[in-house]
Amino acid sequence: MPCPRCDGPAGEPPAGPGAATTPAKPGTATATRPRPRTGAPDATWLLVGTPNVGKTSLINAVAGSRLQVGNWSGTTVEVTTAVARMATPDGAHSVALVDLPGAYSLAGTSAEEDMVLPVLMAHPDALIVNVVDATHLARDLTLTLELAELGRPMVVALNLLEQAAERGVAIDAGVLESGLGVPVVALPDHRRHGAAALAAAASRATPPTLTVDYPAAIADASERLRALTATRWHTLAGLAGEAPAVPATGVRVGAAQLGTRAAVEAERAALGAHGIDPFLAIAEARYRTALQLAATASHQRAGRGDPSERVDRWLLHPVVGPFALVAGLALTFHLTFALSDPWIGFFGVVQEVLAGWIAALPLPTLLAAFLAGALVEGVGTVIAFVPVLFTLYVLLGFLENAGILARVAYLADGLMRAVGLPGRAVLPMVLAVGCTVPAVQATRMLEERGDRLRVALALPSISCGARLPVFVLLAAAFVPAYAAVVVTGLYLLGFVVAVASALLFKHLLRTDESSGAMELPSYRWPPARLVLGLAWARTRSFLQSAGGPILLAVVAVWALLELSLPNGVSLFEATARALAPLFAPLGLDDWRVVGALIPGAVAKEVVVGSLALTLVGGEAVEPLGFLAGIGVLGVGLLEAARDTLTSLWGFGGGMDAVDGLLGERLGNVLTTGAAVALMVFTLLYVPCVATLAALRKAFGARWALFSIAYQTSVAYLAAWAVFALWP
Amino acid sequence: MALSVELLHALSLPATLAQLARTLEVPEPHLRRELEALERRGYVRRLACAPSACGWCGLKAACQSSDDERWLRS
Repeated sequence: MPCPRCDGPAGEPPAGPGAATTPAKPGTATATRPRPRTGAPDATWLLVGTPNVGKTSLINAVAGSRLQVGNWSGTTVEVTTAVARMATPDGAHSVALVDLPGAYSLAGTSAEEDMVLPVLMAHPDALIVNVVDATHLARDLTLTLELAELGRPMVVALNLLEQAAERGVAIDAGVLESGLGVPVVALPDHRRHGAAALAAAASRATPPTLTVDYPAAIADASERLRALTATRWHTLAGLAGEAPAVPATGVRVGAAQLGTRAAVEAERAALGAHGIDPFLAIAEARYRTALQLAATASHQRAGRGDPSERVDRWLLHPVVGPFALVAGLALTFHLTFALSDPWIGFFGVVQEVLAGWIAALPLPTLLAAFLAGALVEGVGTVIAFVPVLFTLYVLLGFLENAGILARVAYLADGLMRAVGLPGRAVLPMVLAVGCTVPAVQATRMLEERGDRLRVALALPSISCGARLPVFVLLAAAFVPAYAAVVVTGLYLLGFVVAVASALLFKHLLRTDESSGAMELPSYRWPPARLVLGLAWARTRSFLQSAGGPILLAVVAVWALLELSLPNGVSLFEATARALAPLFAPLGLDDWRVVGALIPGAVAKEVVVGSLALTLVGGEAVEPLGFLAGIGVLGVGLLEAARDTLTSLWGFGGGMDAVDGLLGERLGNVLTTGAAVALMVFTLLYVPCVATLAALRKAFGARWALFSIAYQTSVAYLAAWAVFALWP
Repeated sequence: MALSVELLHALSLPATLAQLARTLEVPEPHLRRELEALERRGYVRRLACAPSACGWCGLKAACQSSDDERWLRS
C-alpha cells in the first residue's frame, strides 16, 4: 500500500519539501533532500508529538541535519525526513527519522494534523517515537494514550525537562516507563547525547501495556466493533464521531465497503439513548488516565518550588490571607482615589469652561439651558467620574492578570464553603465588582439551577463600578479623610449582604450544592501595555454602551425639571416630594436627593448626574471667551498632571477635587449619617435595568421582579439601620 | 482530545481566545480550530459583544471592547 505522503511504497520513509540539504557528517548522520533511492535505511522512526514540543530539533541534533525549526508551534507543516546512522546494541544502522507535523490528537482539526495518522498507518513496521512535553505532561500523555491504542511498538522521548524544572516540577522517567509499559527516555539538555539512549530504547520498544479505563458502556461497544476496524483507536474514534479521513489506507472507520458505518452509528445511537455522550466520555476517560499517570510520575521539588507557591503560603494563609485581602482592597481604593482625584478636578474645570462658552453664545434660552444643564452639568458630572473608573479598571486589570484576583476568589472559596455555599459561586461575585451583568451570566458555571438562582439573586448587593461615582461624591463631601475606608467598608458590606442573601435563599429554595474545584494560575507581572489597554477598552465600552442610557435618563430628568405644573412646581419635584415622606426615616427628606434615586434605577451613575442637575443646575454662569477658556483648560491640565505626580510621590489619598459646589450643596441637604445611609441605599437598592434584563433572561420575569422587591426592601432596612445607629 | 477537555473545563466562564491561549499556553490558531470543532459539535458557543447585538450586552465591563468575542461551554 502506498504511503499517502511519499511517492514510495509503504514502509519506506517519506521525503518531503522543507528538508534542507546538509553536508554529510562522516560516521554520524546524513540529512537528505532528495533522499537517495538506493540504500534504503534499515529502520524508520516516526516522530509524533504536540506542536512546538521539539521534534525537529531532536532530529537535527541526532542526525546533524538542518530541518527548519522555530520557537513557535506549527513549524513543521510537511512531512520531512533526515537519515541518521545510529549505534544500537546490535550494531550500526541507518535510521530514517520522519518529522511529522505537531498534533494534539490523531483526529486532527487542521490539514497539517490530518497528515499524521495516514503516515502512521502507511508505515506499520515503523517505530513510533512519541516526543512528550514535560511542561504539559497530562496533555501530551493523552496523545500517548491515543498512540498506544494503535497497538504499535513505541518509545516515549521526554523533552523540555529543563523548563519543567524551572517551574519546580521533576519527572521520574522510570515511573512513566512502568506506568506506560514502553521505554521512556529523558532527553538531556544537549539532545545529541540522547541519540544513544533513544537507540537503546528503540531496541526494546514494545506496544504499551497501559489501557484507558473507559466507562463500561463504551468499553462494551468498543469490543463489539473491534473486529470491524483496523485498530482500537479507530473503533473509539468511530464511537466518538471523529471518523478521521484516511482514504488511501482503506482503514477509515465507517467505510461503506467494510459495512462498519452502520454498526458504529447503531452503537452511538444506543449510547446516546442511555444518556452517554461518547465523545466526552472517551475524551475525559483518556485525559483522566493521563492526569493520574502524570501526577504519579511528577512531583514538586521541595524548597525550589514555583515562586507562586511561596507567595501563596502567606497570601492564602487562613489567618493572614483575609487580612491581606481587606488591606489589598483598601489599598486599591486608596490608589484609585489618589490617582483619579486630580483628573476629576480637571473634568470639573472642563465643565466650567464649557458652561462659560455656552453662556457666551447667542443661543435661544431653552437650547442654552439644555446644553448647559442636561449635557454639561448632568451628563458632564457623570463623565467627570470616568477617571475613577479608568483607574479602578487599571488596578483591577493588574490584579486580574497578575493572578491575584484568582487568589481572592480562592480565599473566599474556603469561606463560602464554610457557610454552606457552593465554592465556585465566589467567581461570579468577584466578577460583580466590575459589573453585575456578566456576573449573572457567569452563574451558569454552577450545576444546580437552584444554586444559580440564589447566587444570581445575591449578586446585585455587590457594588459594581457604576456605584463608585456615587460613593466617591458623597465620601469626598462628608468624610474626605476616610474616603477609601468608607468605600472599602461599602464593598465589604455588599459582599456580606450578598453572602447572607444567598444563605437565606438556600433555606428558602432548598437545593443541593454544586461542586467544582478552584484553580490557581501562577503569578506574573502583567505588561503595562496589556493593563492600560484593557482599562481603556473597558472605559471606552462604558462610554459607548452605558453612555446612551445615562444620557437618556439625565435628559429625562432635565425635561421633567423644565416641565412645570400649574402651581409652578416641576413634574420632577412634584414626584420626588410625593415620595420624600417614605425616605424620611432614612434621613433622606430632601426632594432632590429622593428624586435622584428614581432615575438611578436605570443606571446607578445617574444619581450623580441628577443631583448635579437639581442642586447645581440653573446657576448663572459668567460668559467666557474662547481664548480665556483655553487658558483655564491649560492651567487645569497642568495642575492635574502635577497633582497626579504629587499623589504618587506623597502617596496622598484625599478627595479634594470633587468637594466643590456640589459637595457644598449636598452638605446643606444631608447630614453625615444621612449621606452614609444614602450610600448604603444606593449600594443595595433595585438592580439597574441591564441586570434586571440579565436576570429575566436567565430565570424569568418573576425572579427579576422578585429581585426588585427584595433589593429595595434590604436597601431600605439597611439604610434605616445605618441612619438610626449613626452617632 | 486533551485540548478539547482542557478547553471545556476552562470555558465554564466566558473567555476570549487570547485569555484561553494564555491560560493553556497554546497558540491562538490551534485553539481557534479546536474551538470551532467543539462549536460544530455543540459543546461551546460564542458570545458576541457587538453593540448592535443588543443595547446592553456591551454595558460597562461586560465586554472588554465592542468587537470582543468570548466563548462559553454550552
